[in-house]
Amino acid sequence: MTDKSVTDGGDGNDHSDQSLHLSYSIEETEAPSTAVARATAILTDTAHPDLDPLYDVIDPDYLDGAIETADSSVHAEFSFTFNQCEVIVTQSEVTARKLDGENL
Amino acid sequence: MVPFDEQLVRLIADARNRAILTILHEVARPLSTAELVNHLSEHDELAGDVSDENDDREALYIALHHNHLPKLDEAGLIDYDPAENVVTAENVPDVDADWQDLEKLEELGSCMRAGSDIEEDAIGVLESREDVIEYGRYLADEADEELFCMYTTTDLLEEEHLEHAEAALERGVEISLGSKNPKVRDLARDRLPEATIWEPQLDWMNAPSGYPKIGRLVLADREQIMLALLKNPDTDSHHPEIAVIGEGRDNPLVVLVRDLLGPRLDHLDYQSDEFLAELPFEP
Repeated sequence: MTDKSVTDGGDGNDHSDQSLHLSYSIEETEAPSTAVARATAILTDTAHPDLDPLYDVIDPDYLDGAIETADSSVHAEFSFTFNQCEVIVTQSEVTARKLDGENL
Repeated sequence: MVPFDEQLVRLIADARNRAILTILHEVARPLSTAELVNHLSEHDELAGDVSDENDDREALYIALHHNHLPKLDEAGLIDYDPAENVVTAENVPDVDADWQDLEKLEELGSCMRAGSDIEEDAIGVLESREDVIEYGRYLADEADEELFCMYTTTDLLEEEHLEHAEAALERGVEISLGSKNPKVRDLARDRLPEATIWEPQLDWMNAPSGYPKIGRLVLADREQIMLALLKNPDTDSHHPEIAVIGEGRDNPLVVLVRDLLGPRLDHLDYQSDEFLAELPFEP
């Protein structure tokens, strides 16, 4: 399996209630939209079926198309709010940050 | 094409979407997203794409829940409840998951456009025999109360169409089937004992010789019509077919056909072979 690095911005506790950061490297065979769902599920400790669909926020096909077909000189970056997290997607990784009541 | 239809065609052009629709049509009941993943995995295995990796199943689940299912729901092709993770078919035509021909997909798109409520006055055109067969099955599935059909040759009663008619009978739909060809009437009587089988007296249905000529007519609930023409047969034994379709009580084509059929629609019982056979005297 691959190395999914999970770093938190708090006290080193993976399941703390404080706002949590997660950095997820997108695998070669993985679609960016799939990575977004996986990363958010891990960060929020939620099962996939219980997340709100990504399509409600952004069309996964367009997201994947823009990122995967872009030339290497292009820096494509999408950021959006997804299941109460701030998510940033680039060609190589997904960064997610939990938004608790104070940060919204 | 109107943007709405383009999106519809784009959705159906995706093999996975077609597989989803086919599976929903086959099981004929709501499925959980997990069940759909299982069905699709089997489907892919049959297509030679074996993968039982948990990772791939997870990726498939994600793709369904976050992408395919909400999109199909938005287009009105299915109903997806993302909270309960339940998928229900929305009464769509049977879509063959093996179709690769884009031309056929565009025709299906026009088929579905005619089936949605965009314009009451719209008349659609079907350009191939496959589409005519498809739409005939669709009408059989759509009919709530009455299915009125007329055929001119035996080989227009495809096995699958008969199956869809049988299913309609089971739903309580009244079926009337007319044909000047006694072979067609026998076949229909055999397979659809509860249907009213009769012999049309309409000259315009069977004009002498010459192509193109009317091949079949299907009228569902007196508000959805398909009128198919047989073209000159070229090399194969089946006649190429084209059809016009219309939907809506006030749709010009529907109104025209209803008028032409006129009192025939009301006097079906009086024309049926069953009725004539019951008469104590020679008709």
